[in-house]
Amino acid sequence: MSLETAAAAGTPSRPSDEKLLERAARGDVDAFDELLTPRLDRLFRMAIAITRSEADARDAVQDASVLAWRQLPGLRDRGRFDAWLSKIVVNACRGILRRQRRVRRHESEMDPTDQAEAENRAFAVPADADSLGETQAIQRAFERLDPTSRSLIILHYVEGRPLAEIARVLGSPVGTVKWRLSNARRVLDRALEVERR
Amino acid sequence: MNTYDSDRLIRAALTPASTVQAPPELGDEIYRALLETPQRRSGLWPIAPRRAPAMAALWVLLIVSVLATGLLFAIGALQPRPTPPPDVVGMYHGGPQRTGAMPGPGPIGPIEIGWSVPRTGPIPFNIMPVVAGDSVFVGDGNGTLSALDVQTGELRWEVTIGSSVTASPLYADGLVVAGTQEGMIVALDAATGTERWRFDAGSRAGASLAAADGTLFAGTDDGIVFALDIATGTRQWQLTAAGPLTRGPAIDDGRLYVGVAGGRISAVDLATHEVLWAAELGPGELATPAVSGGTVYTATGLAELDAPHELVALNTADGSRRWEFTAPSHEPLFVSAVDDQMVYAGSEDFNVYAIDAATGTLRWTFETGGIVGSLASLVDDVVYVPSADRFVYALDTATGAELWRIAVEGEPTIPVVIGGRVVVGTSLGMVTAIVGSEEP
Repeated sequence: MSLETAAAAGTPSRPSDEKLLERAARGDVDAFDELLTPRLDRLFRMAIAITRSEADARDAVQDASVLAWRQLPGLRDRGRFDAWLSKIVVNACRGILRRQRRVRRHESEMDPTDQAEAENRAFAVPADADSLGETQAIQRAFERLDPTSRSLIILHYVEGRPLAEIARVLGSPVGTVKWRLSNARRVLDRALEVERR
Repeated sequence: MNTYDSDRLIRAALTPASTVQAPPELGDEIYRALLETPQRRSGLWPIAPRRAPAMAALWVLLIVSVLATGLLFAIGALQPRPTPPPDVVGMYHGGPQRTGAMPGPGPIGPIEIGWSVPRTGPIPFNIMPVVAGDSVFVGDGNGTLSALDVQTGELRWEVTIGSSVTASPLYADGLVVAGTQEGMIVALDAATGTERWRFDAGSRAGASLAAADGTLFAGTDDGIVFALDIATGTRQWQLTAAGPLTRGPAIDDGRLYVGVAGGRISAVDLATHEVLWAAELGPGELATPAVSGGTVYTATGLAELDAPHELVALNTADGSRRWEFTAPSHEPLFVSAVDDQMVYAGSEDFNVYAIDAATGTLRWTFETGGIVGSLASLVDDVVYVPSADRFVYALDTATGAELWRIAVEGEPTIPVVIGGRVVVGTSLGMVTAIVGSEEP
């Protein structure tokens, strides 16, 4: 229900994010929950894009939510709440990936059917065989990247964030972001080239 | 296929389906976790008073102090005075040589968490707390520099110096200095947190700070190394490195060793500012160098997936290669710690490798549950290793045998080992002191 419709119907409208942030920063858990709930799907999709695992994405979003709650009173610029929250989620994803080997052990242990099913739920599968091969080549190459490079690729190509914002999210300089993004992109391009031969 | 088509393919391959939603029970799970988590607030932990006490209290304090001092003098005059252990770990990785050597002693007896307090933001693994006397100083990802009581974790002061602290803080001569995302080098009075000076380095100061002989060295992402008078922040000189400084330089015997993104390491004479030698070590970033026994150690190919990942030992005299070591997994390595016998290398393959410092031969391997990317610390025959699996490990340096491990909240930074404690910051914004049940 939009704010306008709610107002017309005489029902209480949802408080603004600004009001909710103010209350949440003073310890109101329900206010923080109201802030978080409409954002959960977006944060989960970002986390699953970086980690490529539903279970890891879930852990990352939960860890990030708790950390954001704990540190919210220290957030100086409340206008940047969404960017700040995204930063915490990205770093939670990186933390989880740093506890996993590059080619995850569980992939060799999982039933291939289960694995394919899990991936298909999260990632759309192209209809034609050529595109499927290229898609899988990109995904395999992506999973070889280090956690920071994976975050860079997702923030740039999937989330469409500008380089300056990516630099702030990762706590890196813009120059380093450009350089590492270019390196990561080379890895994906090489995978595509090999697939097309 | 043109770039646009490749971009489109990458986006399509890596974008989750629009139907993907957070699991319905996730919101409830988070809510329950929030109910059990206190928020961090200024003043939740007491802050030491800064106001001058009332005059009457001052007189009482003065009289008691004089009496106590006289008594202690009388007692002390009858007993031999032991040399107090060093009470400062003022620099990233323990000192300008970046070997990880710490004064210790480490904790003795059954190990436990002494105290653990939250800061205003995450403490990334490249930001190490520093300790001076009875204070711990720590910078965090929210741009705050804080002073805590080393015995209790009680907050003494906290000051916002930028949007994020990006260069690991340094303590020297009563000052705490740190670098920020905005390129500021800021010096605060260690006792009060009052700003003493600041220097605009022009670009993000991301390299850990180093100091020697009253001079502070700060490296930036523009590839500039500034030499500043540590007392005043005045620029003394600067040099332009061959690329961005993503990690701090090492200093030993009048020389600065600096590695840059792109794989070049150089030795610079601090008196003449002359580049004495440079070695090209291949593509990618170089690990923070460490200097010991006429050798400078670094690791190659970081952040470069298909480059060789080697730990290399170079002669400090001319940069010639003595040996190199590659992990069996060929995964990236870091120079975790160096003593006169061994080089300890952490790896992205979860292992710690102990390598003979003279020959480059592998002596032992210890496996953790996560990337060993944060550097380690050394006290006597114990190496303290932080891992991304959120444990701090203590290992016997000779054999790699595990002496103990303890879980912390978040990925730990370089451990600071001093006064019977191991102090770490963590990726979840905690500062934690690990202690033993026995007095050191």
